[in-house]
Amino acid sequence: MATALVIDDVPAFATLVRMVLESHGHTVTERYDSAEGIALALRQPFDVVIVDMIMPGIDGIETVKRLRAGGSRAAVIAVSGGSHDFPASAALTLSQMHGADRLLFKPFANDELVATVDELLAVPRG
Amino acid sequence: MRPNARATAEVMAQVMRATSSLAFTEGLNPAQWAALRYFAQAMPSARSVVAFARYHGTTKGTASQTISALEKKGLLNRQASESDRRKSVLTLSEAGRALLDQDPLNELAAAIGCLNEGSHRAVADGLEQLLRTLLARRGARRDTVQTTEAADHDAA
Repeated sequence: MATALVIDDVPAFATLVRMVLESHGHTVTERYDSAEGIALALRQPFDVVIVDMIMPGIDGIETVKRLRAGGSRAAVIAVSGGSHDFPASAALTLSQMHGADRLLFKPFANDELVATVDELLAVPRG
Repeated sequence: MRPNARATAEVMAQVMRATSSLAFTEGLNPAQWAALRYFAQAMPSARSVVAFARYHGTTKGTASQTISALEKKGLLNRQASESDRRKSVLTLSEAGRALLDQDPLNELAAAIGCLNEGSHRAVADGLEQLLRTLLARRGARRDTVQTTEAADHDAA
């Protein structure tokens, strides 16, 4: 079972992700502020970090960059439904360029989230 | 010395022309290649025309045209959704999956892979800033047009 951190400024979404993953035995922490999430992820190792792309302040793309620059080796799942001015294709591809391991386009099914996490956990990380 | 912005744009246009001509291969245009890549990676819940359009921030009509062309070429299959028979799910055919081995993006990725880490990072950071700026400018232009149209409507 994994330890996961969800960074999303929308508490309802972060809580939904937590409930889905906890029902599959994972231990999940939520952060609604990206700066707090980055600080926590760099202080405490997580197996998986799930990051929303469209957030106020430090957005998801910059969050992924800072996690990787800070030496985080966690598997990173970038999630986005895009916005009017920033399509999901741009946000998710940029995050992948900077080190996200998997991309999830919102809305996604619960089993797709679980399968993505399981798939990442099956890959040994150095 | 800071590089010349206009000349940098010209060089970028040449890179884009080089990749664009690469993208017109195997009988597909760049939009059709983008759709093929999308459906190769999309989760089952996102394998629809509407989701593809939303993902790329395009219209459903444009997305439909691209997807219809791929279906006619036998590269995409349309099947009824297992969870909701009223909906259809688009999946890559064997031929579509095989064609992705010839993805013209591989050539550009190989060229980028030849850069040293510092140059690659600089390109990545520069491209990110450029894309963010272009999207912001496009959004501002759209807002200006909408504001002008609303003012014209109020004045009429």
